[in-house]
Amino acid sequence: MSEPLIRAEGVTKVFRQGELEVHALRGVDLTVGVGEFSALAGPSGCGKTTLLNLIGALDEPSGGVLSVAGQDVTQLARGDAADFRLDHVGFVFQAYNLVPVLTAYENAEFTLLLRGASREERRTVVEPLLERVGLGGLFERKPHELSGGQQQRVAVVRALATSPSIVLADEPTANLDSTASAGLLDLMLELNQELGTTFLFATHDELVLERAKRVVRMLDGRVDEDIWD
Amino acid sequence: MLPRLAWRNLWRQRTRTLILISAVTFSYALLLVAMGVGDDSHQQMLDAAVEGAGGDVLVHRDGYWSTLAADLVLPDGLAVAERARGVEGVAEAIPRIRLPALVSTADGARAVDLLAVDPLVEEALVDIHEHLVEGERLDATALESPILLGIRMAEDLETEVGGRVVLTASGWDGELTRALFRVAGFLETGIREVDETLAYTTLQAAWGALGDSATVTQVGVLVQEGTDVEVLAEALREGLGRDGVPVEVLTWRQAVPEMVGFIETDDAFLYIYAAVMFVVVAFAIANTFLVAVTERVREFGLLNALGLRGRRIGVLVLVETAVLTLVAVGVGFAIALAGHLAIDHWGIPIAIWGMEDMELAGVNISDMVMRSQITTSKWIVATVAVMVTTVGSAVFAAVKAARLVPAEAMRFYE
Amino acid sequence: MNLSVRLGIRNLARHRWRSILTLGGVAAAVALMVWTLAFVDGWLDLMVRGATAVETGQVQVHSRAYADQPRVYRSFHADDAFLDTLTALSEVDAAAPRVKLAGLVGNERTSQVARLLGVDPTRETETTAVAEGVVEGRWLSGSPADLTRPREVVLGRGLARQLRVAPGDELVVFLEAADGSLGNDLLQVVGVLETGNSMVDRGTAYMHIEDAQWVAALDGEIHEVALRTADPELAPLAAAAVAARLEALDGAGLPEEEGLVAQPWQELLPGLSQILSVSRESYLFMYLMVYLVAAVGILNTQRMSAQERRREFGVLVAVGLAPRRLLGILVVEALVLGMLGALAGGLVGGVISWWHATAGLDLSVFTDQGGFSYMGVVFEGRIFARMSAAAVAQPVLVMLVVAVLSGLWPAWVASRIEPAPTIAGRT
Ligand SMILES: Nc1ncnc2c1ncn2[C@@H]1O[C@H](COP(=O)(O)OP(=O)(O)O)[C@@H](O)[C@H]1O
Ligand SMILES: [Mg+2]
Repeated sequence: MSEPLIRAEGVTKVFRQGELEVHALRGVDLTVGVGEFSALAGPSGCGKTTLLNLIGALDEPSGGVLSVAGQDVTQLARGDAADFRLDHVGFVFQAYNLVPVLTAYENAEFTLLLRGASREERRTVVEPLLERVGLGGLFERKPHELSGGQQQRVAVVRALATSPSIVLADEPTANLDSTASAGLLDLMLELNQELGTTFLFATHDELVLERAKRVVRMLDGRVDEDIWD
Repeated sequence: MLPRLAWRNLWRQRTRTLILISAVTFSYALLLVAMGVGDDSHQQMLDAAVEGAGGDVLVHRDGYWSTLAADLVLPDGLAVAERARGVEGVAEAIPRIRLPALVSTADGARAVDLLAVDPLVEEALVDIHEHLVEGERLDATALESPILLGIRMAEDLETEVGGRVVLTASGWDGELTRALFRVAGFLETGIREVDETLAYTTLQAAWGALGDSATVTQVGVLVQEGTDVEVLAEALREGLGRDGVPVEVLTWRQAVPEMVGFIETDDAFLYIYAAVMFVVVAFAIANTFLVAVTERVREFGLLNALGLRGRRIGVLVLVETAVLTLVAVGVGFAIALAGHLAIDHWGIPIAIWGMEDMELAGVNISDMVMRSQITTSKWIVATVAVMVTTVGSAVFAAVKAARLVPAEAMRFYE
Repeated sequence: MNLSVRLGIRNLARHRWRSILTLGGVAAAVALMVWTLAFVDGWLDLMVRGATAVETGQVQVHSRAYADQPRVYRSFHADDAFLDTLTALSEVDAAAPRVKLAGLVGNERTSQVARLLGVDPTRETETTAVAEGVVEGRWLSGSPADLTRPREVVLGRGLARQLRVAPGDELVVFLEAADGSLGNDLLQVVGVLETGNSMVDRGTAYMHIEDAQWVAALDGEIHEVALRTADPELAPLAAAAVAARLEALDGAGLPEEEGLVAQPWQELLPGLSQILSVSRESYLFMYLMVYLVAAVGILNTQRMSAQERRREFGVLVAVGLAPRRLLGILVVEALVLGMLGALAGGLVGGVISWWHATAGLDLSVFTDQGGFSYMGVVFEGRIFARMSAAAVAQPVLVMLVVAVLSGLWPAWVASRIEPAPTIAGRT
């Protein structure tokens, strides 16, 4: 078997809040392979977001081994972490995903712009993707002129535009109604199949869990169950 | 309840509040200190001008001051001075003679503005011996017809203490008169122009030269502390103008109009700068409170939903500004007071800016040391103005906060 | 358009009121400084002009001994040929020979101490503006003095007032002559001067140079040559050129007397040049104070705005925006803010300054005394500001620097953002 996309061994994370120590992760072992469409599940506070953040190099683990796309992400400098994310990771968050003053198109091409892609390169990537997610004709809209579902689709396009190794989505449907959620999830599943991009969710939304090929249930900062479809 | 709420709200955004307070504090303290230093330098300039003119109130033969004509004299000057001393509020009345003259020796001649005084009486205004660097005091010398000369003039004329000089001037009748004087000493003020033209003699010596024993050109009146100069001048006009020659009675404001003009202009510029500074500060405050209102839309919505009326929410915002202003003004006042005391204690010599002598309205001022002086009324006006400006600049934000409707307010974000 | 600039402009437009208020503060500060510079420039011009143009001239030539200590007998010979060699220099526009005396001027009623200047009326008019100050009567007649008529004298207004004389009246002058004797002569007042130079206005009398030489027994010699140069600022250069020429003349044996020296007004009036440099330095202090307050405004706005948008920044950093780039974006935003404010301020300040440069600023607005005198120059009525590109550009450019500097700290703080807790709403 080839090297997994994500390899976590005994990953721990302790937050310090003054005197208090919060053990958010108490030793997580997890591997995720290329092309997966998986979800981290579990009750609020069990450590899903924390784990996702560690994988996305938004934060550093307190202990353990963690490599993503063959790179050790446990001790990246700030600038290196930003570069790593730009090269390997796409993010979709629950809210505040888009820059309010940029249009849908500008938000979508943002990561490519950061990579220094030319206008033409950006257009050839972003335009078809936006059309693909059903936003053709809404390019010039500002985020506040889009529905919640449409906003999340722009975020998905932005995440995919750089052809990342993995898209990390933390509660992407939490602010959407069920129709919009279902539409967004179906779209992500299709993209997973068409482009082979790996998706990892953190959620407790049933709609997500229904579609996920693998559900990793967490409890109190540990992996509790690992269920494949 | 509102002030307490306001106080806590301010400290929720500690950095922002501190920035705001420091902006107000800084400009307020700067204004006060600038006023303190300005008022003091102006006072010094005025003092110099009054000293140069000869007193707080000047009595001359009518028409003298605008012409300085040597023939417009008070023939019975000593009696005028005596009568002036009897007027309520007069601290001293100093008779003196100002005489444009030519002082000559074998080595040349110099034009001088000769002042003939009674040194003891003159001391109430200025000690003419303050700058004596060589020789004797006019009131201590045994020389007949003694004269004190500016050191540069003395050097130019190559005289020495005890030496003779000839004074040429037109007498009261317009006839050129020449008289012999003996140099009692040299004066050195450090101001070139002054040291080239300064000359003092006694009234007796001047009268001796001019053949007279009572005529003066000016009676300089010093007022008692707390006396209104204008009122006193009016009383002097009443008391002195009735008999004898027609006199003019001038207050220092009338006597040194150019100096008053300079000071008023200088003050006006200070106020222009202060006003613009506070416009800038007011913009910053208006801004901050505007943002604070937008940011706290939900909170205001909640308060409103709980039953706090829109009006009172607006008032809350104003109370917050008022609290902030009070803190800023309090701290600013303390800083300004400290600055005032420090500057007043140590003084700032204007020489550090490379300025030595200045000529202002015909008055030479040298080596001025700027100190500070509090004019209570000005400080109060400035403080009130600052408070009104800062609180006023939050009105826009307060109105906005008051107009928020709860439902809309809660929907504002997300 | 560059991403940073685009983001900056749009964010400023998004918070219109906030931006307008900050711009207003910045603009007020810049406008004040533009006006200050234009006004002080105009004011200093007036001082230099008042002090040099009326009487001193920009450069003066004296004998070395006279420059050291003026004495009536320390004179030198200067004929037309000598003056023409000086005006032949490209730095020198005109030259006026003078005899400078001090004496008593009076009549049967009274007398006053006066400075007496013997001048060549034509050359004096070419060199200084004194003749423009004639307010009563006329300037000295152009032709050489006619010995059959009373000698002409033009008095400063103060002197005329003190002596209570008007054109047509006669006066006696009484002074120390070069040979040590006391000279005296009869003069007739032909004009009264009001020039704005208090030394001239208060106590100077102008007469024909030949008359002055006669009264003071100077035998055709003079005390000083006043020179006019185009730019008062460059007077030291002109003085150097004149000095070089004088040295060459010395070598040629002309003039025979001891050496001559040329001094620019900056040396002749040290007090004035001190005031000028102090006034220029005081710009710095003004900038410091006014711009410090404006900087606090920008800093505050940027800090608030960054605070408000922290989640947005969190997401941007999360998707790969390097912190340094975020810093850049925010600094550009502050720069755009400063630039718009500075341009608006430059415009407003420029218009006000232009207005005060053309219509003048009436001093009686500030004081009912109508004016004052300072360093020998009378400031009365209207003062005209001097508009220049530099007076507008400098405050604008300095504001740009200030905007960047005051945007730096909020930008730096914002760029240190921790994306994970920020997105989670924990900050
Ligand atoms: N920055 C932080 N500081 C302190 N505690 C934190 C921080 N981030 C997360 N936690 C704590 O860690 C635990 C796991 O949080 P999180 O990963 O957000 O849970 P989930 O996403 O599963 O709801 C919680 O108890 C939470 O309070
Ligand atoms: Mg979570």
